[in-house]
Amino acid sequence: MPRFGEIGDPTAVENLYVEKIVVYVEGEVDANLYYEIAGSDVRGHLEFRGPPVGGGGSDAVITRVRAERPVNAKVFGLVDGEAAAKAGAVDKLLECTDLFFRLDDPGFMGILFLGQHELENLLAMSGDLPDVILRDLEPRLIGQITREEVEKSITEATRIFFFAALIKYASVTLNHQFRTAGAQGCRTLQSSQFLDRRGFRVTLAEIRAQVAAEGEVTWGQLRREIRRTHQAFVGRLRTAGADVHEVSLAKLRVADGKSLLKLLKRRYSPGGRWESHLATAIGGTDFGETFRHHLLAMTT
Amino acid sequence: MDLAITDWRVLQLTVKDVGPFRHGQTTISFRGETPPKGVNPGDGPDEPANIFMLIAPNGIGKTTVLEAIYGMFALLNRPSEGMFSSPLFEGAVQLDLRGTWHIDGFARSVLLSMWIGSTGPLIDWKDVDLEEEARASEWAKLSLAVIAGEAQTLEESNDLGRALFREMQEALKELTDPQSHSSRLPTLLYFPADRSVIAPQGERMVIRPDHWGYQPAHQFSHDGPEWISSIDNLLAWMENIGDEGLPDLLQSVNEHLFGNGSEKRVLPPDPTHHLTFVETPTGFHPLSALSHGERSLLQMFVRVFAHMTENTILLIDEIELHLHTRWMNRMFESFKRILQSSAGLTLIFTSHDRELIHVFNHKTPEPGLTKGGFLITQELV
Repeated sequence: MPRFGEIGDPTAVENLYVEKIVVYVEGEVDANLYYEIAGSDVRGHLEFRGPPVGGGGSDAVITRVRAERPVNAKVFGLVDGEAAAKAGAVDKLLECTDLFFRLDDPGFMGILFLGQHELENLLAMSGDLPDVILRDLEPRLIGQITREEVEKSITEATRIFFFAALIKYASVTLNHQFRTAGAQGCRTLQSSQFLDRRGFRVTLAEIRAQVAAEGEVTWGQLRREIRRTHQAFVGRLRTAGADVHEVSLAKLRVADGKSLLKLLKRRYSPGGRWESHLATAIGGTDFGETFRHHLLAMTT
Repeated sequence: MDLAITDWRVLQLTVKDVGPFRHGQTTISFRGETPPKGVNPGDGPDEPANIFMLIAPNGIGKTTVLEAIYGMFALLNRPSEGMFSSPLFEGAVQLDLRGTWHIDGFARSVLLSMWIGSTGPLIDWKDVDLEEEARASEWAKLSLAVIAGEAQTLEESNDLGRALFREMQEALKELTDPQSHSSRLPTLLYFPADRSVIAPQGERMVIRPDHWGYQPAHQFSHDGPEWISSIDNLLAWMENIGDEGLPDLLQSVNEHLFGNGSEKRVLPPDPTHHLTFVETPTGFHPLSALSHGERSLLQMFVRVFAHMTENTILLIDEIELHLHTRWMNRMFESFKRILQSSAGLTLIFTSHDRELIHVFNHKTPEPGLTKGGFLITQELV
């Protein structure tokens, strides 16, 4: 594939030229965080990049990888675990016990899915989130908050955004099923709606009203899918004999991580740069090393 | 015979057992990927490029490709030069170029194949390929061998091929001023990657510079430290012989080296001391006071403007050498402008600079530029 035109655009040419593993992630900010986690010396073998066209997000990554893979087998994508729901494979995320998972679908060749809802979950689970929060409190709270209070807030936020994520997964899964059957899809119910300051119940009621008004899917269909997903999730934990802490961690793994951190920041430090602090803290630890080894093993 | 050439372009290079290309025959196409802005893609994408980027990891043939193109033309120097002039050379190479040949007032589209190391051509252009792929009406064949240090045409050559060979040989060392016959003949200027720029030391004198006059191929490995090979000497020589092209050359060099509106400029050489000065806001400095990067750019621009003919192939290995990324981009923009104003000039360059892949951007059409690129991969060698 030697002519530039046969390879693709300048980025595709560059990727083939450098002879390294290229891992497209959902944006440049994510790329920098992944470098922090995996260690910047990983650059000798592997480069993280945001998609050069189509903005960010999992769709742009998947489109890009599909375009480049035919000429460059060293190109991969690393997307949020929640993206599997769009392919009707949310169960793969729910049952994942590893750092990453793949789909068998040939349309997702070269795509790695995070074993968490998204990168923020990985950061929150693998770093010491309460410690980072306490170190980055807004001035008026310094000395006023204990670690126990922060841990309680995290648990509460996890409970909300675990449920919020289940609603989102259910809507995305139903959308996928409808489209596969040739029918009109339904709208994705964004879990970030639960950031609404009026509270969980008000938001839930509004979502129900929205669903009813749109008429693309009934609340009953949605509730059945939420229940199915929840039972599958809980069932696995029961089978594994998970204790309270493990259940809490499992919920944190699949909760809407971005919204969870936003809610906590609103409470403790609106301008907090916790993601980068967490990523820096993780880099160089055993977890960072494991992440790096797993990633290299799955891309070589 | 009165022969002039226009629209001179490299079509492809075929190598066999040369450098790292040891597994059969490899052909590198120099066709464009993107036609110039304003040209219908249907009319142009297969046309030979006038700006071509060649990239590859180290050690798999990037420089060999440039050396091979240079080597084919350098065979026609007297004595023959380049990698194919050695009696130890055992491989085979064919270079295909297309141009419009004006012979005794008649224009014809001609594909020239020059080859060495093989009895017949490595690529045998059938009539249909000549017309459909090369878009030429006639095939000029030039089969070469080096005998007693000089290139000779072999019997597989044809009349057209021999005609060009003869014209180029007769023009050797002729001055390349715009009125001379040789200014319409093909030439090749090669800047290898091991070029060095060291200000000349010692005595300054008026002496005919290396590379003065027409040659099929020039290699500019270094500027200095010997006086005879320096830019300082070239400029002093041109001043001394009253070369009418010197003011234009300096104007072009200043435009591309410092940019329009710059307070810096290279002045005409001082005939008394054989020194060329650069005027700057802080005073006058000799060329030797220029930074390494400026001197590297100066070397390229002066050599191009001093030695190019109406049909010139410019080869630059590792074009970014000595240059900060900002200067590299500026130089690249300059070369694009030179190409846009010089219809018979083709630039083929290599680079290891990843940024340049994006600056070059083969997907974006630009006026007067047919862009092409080739990545040599391990599979090819």
